[in-house]
Amino acid sequence: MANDNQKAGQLSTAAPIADPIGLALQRLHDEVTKEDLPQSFLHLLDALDATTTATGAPPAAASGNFA
Amino acid sequence: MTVAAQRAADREDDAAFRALLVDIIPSLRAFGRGMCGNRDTADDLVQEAVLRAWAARDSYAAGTNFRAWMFMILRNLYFSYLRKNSRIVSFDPEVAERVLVTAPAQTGHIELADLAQALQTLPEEQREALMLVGANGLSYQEAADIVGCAIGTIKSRVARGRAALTILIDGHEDSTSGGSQGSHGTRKRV
Repeated sequence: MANDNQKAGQLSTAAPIADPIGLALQRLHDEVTKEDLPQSFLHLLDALDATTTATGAPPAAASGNFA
Repeated sequence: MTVAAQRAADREDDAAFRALLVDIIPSLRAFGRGMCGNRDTADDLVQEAVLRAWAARDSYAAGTNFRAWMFMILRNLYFSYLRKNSRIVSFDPEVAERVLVTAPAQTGHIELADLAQALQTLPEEQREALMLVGANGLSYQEAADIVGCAIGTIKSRVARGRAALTILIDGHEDSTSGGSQGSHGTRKRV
C-alpha cells in the first residue's frame, strides 16, 4: 500500500501519504467528510429542488472564474 | 422535442447535477475548513459555491471534471472572501512556535486539532496545495488545473508545506537551536 502510494506520487497521479503528515491530513479530511451534513445544507438542497419544479427560469450567470 | 419532453429531460439533468453536488459537498467542506480554519465560514463558502454551481449548471459540460470545477469555484470564493476581509496571511515561524505548544511526540500520532492549527500558520498557497493533494487526494495535475499553475509549482508547494509541518511536528529547529520556546525546552508536536 505504502509503496503503491509512493509510486503514484512519483507518477504525479496522487500524493504520497505514507508518512505522519500525509496520514494526518487524510484524517483531517475524513473527520469532516464523515460528519452528517448540517441542516443548513439540507435546506439548501431543498431550495435547489424547488427551483427545478417552480419555474423554467434561466440560471444566473456564474462560472468557476468569478474571483 | 415537445415542450413537455424538454422539461422532463431538463429535470433529469437537474437531478443528475444535484446528485453530483450532494456527493461532493463533504469534500468541499473539508477543503473549506482546512483553508479557513473556521467551520461556519467554511460552510458559508461551500453553500455559496453550491448555489453558484447550481446557477451555472447549464454551462457545466457533463463528463468533464466536476470535482475540479467545484473546487475551482470554492477556491475563488475563498480568495474573494480573503480580499474582502483584508486578511493578510504570511508564514511567521515565531507565531507558529507560539501556537504549537503541545506535548513531545512519542508515538508519531498527530493530533488533528494541532494539525489544523498548524495549517493556519502556513502561507495560503502551501495550505491550499496540502489540502487539495494531501487531504483530498487530488492528483498533482488536478490541483494544478484548479489553482491555475504548473504541476511543478504544486509539487513544490506540497513539498514545502509538508516540510514546514514536519519541522513543527518533529521540532528539528529546536533540536538544532537548543529550543527557543517554553521554559521546559520540550519539543513541539503538531
